[in-house]
Amino acid sequence: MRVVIAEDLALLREGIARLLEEGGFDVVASVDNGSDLLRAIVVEKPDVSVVDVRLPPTFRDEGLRAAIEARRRAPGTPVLVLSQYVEHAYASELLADGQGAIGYLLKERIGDVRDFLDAVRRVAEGGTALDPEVVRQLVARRGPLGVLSPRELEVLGLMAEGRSNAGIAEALVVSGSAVEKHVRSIFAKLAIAPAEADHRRVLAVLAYLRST
Amino acid sequence: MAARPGEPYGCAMSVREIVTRPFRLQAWKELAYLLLGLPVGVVTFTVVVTGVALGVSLLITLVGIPVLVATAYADRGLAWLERRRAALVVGRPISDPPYRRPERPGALAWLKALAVDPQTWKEAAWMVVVFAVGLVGFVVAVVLWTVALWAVTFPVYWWALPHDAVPQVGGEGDELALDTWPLAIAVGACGLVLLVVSPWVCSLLAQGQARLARVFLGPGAATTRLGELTRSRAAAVDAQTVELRRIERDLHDGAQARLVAATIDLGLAQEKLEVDPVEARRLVEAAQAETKEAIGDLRRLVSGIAPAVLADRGLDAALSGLVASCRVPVSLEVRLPERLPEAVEVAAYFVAAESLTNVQKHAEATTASLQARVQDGRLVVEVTDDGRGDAAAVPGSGLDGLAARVTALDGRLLVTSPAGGPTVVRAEIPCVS
Repeated sequence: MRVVIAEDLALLREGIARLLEEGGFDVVASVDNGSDLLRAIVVEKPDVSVVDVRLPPTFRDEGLRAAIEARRRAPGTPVLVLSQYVEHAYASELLADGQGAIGYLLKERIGDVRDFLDAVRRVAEGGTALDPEVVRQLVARRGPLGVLSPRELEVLGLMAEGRSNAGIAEALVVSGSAVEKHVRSIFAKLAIAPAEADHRRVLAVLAYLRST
Repeated sequence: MAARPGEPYGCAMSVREIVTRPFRLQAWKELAYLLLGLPVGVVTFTVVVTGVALGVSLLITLVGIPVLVATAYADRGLAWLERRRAALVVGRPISDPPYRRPERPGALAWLKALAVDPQTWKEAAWMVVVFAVGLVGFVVAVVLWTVALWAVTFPVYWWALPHDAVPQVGGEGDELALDTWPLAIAVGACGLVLLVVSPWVCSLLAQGQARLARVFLGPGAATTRLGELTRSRAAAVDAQTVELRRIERDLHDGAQARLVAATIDLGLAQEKLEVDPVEARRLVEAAQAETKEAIGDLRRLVSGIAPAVLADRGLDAALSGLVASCRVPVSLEVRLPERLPEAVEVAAYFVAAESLTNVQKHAEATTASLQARVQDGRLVVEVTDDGRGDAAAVPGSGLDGLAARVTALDGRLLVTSPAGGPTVVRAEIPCVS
């Protein structure tokens, strides 16, 4: 898989590049600012981009803006955003176009090498990878999703993190069929029409984010 | 010396200056101010008298309230213009006073704020007063200048006047016709004197009027001080925001980034522990190095927030520490009483620290000096270097942050840094204990 990295601190840029290469990714471009990121995405058409929220020149949310702009030009461009802070507003903005293929992780998750590489792959394949911390914040302030039972909320949260049904079953220590039942119930309660399974999961997560 | 607007008196002037006054721009501005006084007075008087009379007489039907409110707002607008008219005389507009704001939302609170604001009444009063003083000023200015111009030009044309049009002076039965050359020239001479005197009289009147306007329309002394306090409080908040932002940046780019890098190395090491122990060992060592760097970053950051030695041993010791760690040789001269208020010490420390950092980073200096002393109840900290100069407190810069810090304590920061140097950064902070 071909990947573009946008990170302004050389130390981290190199670390992430090494880690991705070790994981079998092909790092086709490493940039340190938002406009170079946009150009790299347009030129290289990578399978996924790993982007730091904060990039020069403003050092605010330059990376996020560049990612959103890239997805505006080429809808569905997979982007995994890294941040040292959890702001679920960022996650909501990223997911707002309803296309999926979005990740939002805290930087320290990079250290869990396998999980991180999994997350990058999942995003490249059109799934989501939301940081458990983002999900925790969202669960803490659930809104109109009150229609969901506490168990269903839990399942939805794990879906938002990007886990498969099997992964959710493992995390909650329940059977796979129980998870499937919950997932079906979530889709029904959120009135998400039958469609390709992955896309429905994204829509459910979106509904989840919008509810806050 | 040149007469400056606002304070043309009270200093010795040469005869030349006295005589040439009518030909200075300032004299014409003052004349314009006086001449404008009458039309302005007529307008303001009409507005306020009509508005108040109408408003009060309609008060019984409640329609009076909007009329009075409209009058008050018209007064505000006219007062705003009046403050700017005064610039003709005093050089710059009278500062706008703060108006009372409603304590609560809602029409009643708003009406109350308008009614109890002394400024509302002062402005209304000025609208009447300006009519009186404007009238006087106008008449005096017009009469003086007309007579002066008439008299000074009299010798030019008196002989051409028909006999019955020759002006006469003196009382009934004792008239003296101005129909001889000596008399005509005497009139001309009087005109010359008047030409010099008129601008002075006009200036006095204009100055008086403008000062009176300031009493009615400007902020009072208490409000002026309040404005200063508001500014220094805003500076304090700014300084704090800038500081917090800097800390966040330092953490993000420093310790946090290094720890993430260490985590990456450790993560990779974990993966390789069995397949490639040599590489895993190298990665663990790299992670350890990153961690140490992070600790160093944190230490530097903490000492930047609140240097321990400053709290423990005071400014003198802290400044010695700064000088000792500076790469450019610095001569240190400190004369301070035992301890100063903590906020003052901290601000002074940061002035010295930031200035010395600039000396090392930007100034290309070979020597510098740092002085700290208490003088007239103010702590004066001065950093001088022999570098290339051209330093400026541009917004967002370190110097700008220092200025905010110092202003927050009611002090001031002075930076002189001509291109080519030397640069002097001087902070004065009140420290009366």
